Amino acid sequence: MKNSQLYKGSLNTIIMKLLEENGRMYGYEITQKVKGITAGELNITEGALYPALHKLEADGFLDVEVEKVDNRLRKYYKLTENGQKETINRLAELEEFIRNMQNLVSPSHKPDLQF
Amino acid sequence: MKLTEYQITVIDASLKKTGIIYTDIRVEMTDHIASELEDIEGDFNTNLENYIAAHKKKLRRQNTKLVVLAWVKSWKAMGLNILKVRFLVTFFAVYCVAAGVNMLMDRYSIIMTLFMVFCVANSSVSLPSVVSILKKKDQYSIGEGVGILNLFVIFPGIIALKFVWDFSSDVFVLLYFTILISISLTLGYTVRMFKAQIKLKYHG
Repeated sequence: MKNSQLYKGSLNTIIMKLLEENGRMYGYEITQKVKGITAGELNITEGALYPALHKLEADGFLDVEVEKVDNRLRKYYKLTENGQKETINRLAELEEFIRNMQNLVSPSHKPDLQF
Repeated sequence: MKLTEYQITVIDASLKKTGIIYTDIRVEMTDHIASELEDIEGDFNTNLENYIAAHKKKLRRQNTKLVVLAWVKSWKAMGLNILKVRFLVTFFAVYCVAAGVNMLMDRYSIIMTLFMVFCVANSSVSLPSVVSILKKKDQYSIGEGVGILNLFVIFPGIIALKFVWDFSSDVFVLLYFTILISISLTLGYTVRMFKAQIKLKYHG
């Protein structure tokens, strides 16, 4: 992942935000979506993505559905009710974090945040 | 280009060879690699070899991380099951039966009987997991892993047996075996719960 230290703490929020928008997604789809949105700037590796997905599932924020697609089994992830509430909280935290960072880095600039 | 069923089994076999042992993790990685290879032009075998060669270490590291996560999840579930009413009912029932049997037997017989019950309860959880692992080889899930671990509960049980004779009261003996038997039964319930979840997930 590019600038991994900066993005690491936000990975779960990124995943949850994407699932909130898209309903349900599978691992590879998430990596491609992020790559697409960031025009290839951010590349989530399997080594970071799957442990994060499994941790979110273990914490009860994600549900898993398994389907047979193109000769293989595919695990789809979707937000649970708790996960949806948690996404709202984490996005609010992330917005606040970005606002604070923006104020620290360039105090005159007021970002137009849209989540 | 979409991969064939045979090519999917080749990916699965490569992952097994790399050391990705748990089905739950391998299923996900097989799909990931297949999706990635479908997006790449060129010969499938060469692309797969290149992928595995480039990601071998990362895959193993990731596998370890996921296995640890699965174990944490399993033991969390075990802990939660111990806090449930089911555990209290099991504990109470086992204690009542043991106390009833205690009235009919001398100390030696009751200790040996309860120890045998504990061994049977423990084996009924772990042996199916051992058989399942031997039969299915590399198709096992975390349920079997937890079941196997139950075997290790038997060792402290055997070692502690020599101290049980010195317990001053029969109540301590009964409580000691009730705890061991109840934990074994709860572990068995947890393993069954995991197996049912996995079955539901992968076989509908």
